[in-house]
Amino acid sequence: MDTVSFNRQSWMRLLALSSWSDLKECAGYLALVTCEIIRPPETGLVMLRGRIGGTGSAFNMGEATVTRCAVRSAKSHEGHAYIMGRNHEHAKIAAICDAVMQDDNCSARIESLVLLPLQKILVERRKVAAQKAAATKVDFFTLVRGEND
Amino acid sequence: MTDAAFATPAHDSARSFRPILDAMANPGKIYSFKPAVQAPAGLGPEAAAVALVLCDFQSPIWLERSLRMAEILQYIRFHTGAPITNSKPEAMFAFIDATRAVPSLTDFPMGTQEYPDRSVTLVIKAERLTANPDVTFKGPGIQSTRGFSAPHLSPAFWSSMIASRTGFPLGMDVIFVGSHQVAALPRSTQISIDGAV
Repeated sequence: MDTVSFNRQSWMRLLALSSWSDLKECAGYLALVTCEIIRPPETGLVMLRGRIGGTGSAFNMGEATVTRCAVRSAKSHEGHAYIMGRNHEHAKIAAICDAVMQDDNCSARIESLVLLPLQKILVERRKVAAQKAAATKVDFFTLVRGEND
Repeated sequence: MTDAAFATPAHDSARSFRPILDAMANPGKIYSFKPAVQAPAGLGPEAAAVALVLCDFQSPIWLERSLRMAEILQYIRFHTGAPITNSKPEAMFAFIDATRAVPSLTDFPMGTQEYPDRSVTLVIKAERLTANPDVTFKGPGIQSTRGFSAPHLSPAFWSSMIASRTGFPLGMDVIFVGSHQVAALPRSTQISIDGAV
């Protein structure tokens, strides 16, 4: 059995951050896995709290739309997912993926078929975004004006 | 192992809420209550549906000892998000299985003069509710009088319910659930044991 380099937190994060089109492409077939739905996908709001600087007290920044889902696989692993937005399919597939990743017999395969490609895509997209942002960077500097001479 | 709750939460919870609402409006009248819900064995679908429909993170739940099973605790925490408390004075809802044991009602909150709503709602699970006049109800929502009976509820229980009426508008409300049944006893209803109201 191959070892899995993801831990649960990191794969849940990856599944939540991936875009729906990428997830559908890499893991769409997971929707066919037989699972009992413990909590059908439901959309709600969570309050985002923020802090300005390291000393300010926390304040309510605003609400974010979040969809969550919980499933139980045939082998009794519970899979949970919380994702931003209202895509119920996304939450369900992420939850199923979380459940099958807890199964040691499947995790290595799911990792190579789903998680690693998703991670590659995510890193690539971040890089492109960073490059685009970097192209607009402005360096501020002051020319010596010679006032002291 | 957490059981699933409502399959379609929006519709199923609305369908479950309606009989509870009707029961509260017509004290002692027994309504058919068949919630489409999976529930842990000890709790039963009717009591589970009441918890799912009425409880949330702001309503601490107290459970009678026989209901404090890991499955039930997990089910309530997962599906309602309500905190489970062991302290009666903190409880907003108290779930009681009358077929096992009925606890003393003295420590449950009855509300305060400023906030009479900060009181407990008892959810009492019985085998079968009937209109046999073990006790007779009278008050708002009842044309003249209405008989009510639930097995396992002792005269001592009814005496303490009558005693809780003295501080109106403070008091406690009760929801009875039987097999496929629901009935309610709001604090505004007067109770008499011997039939004479």
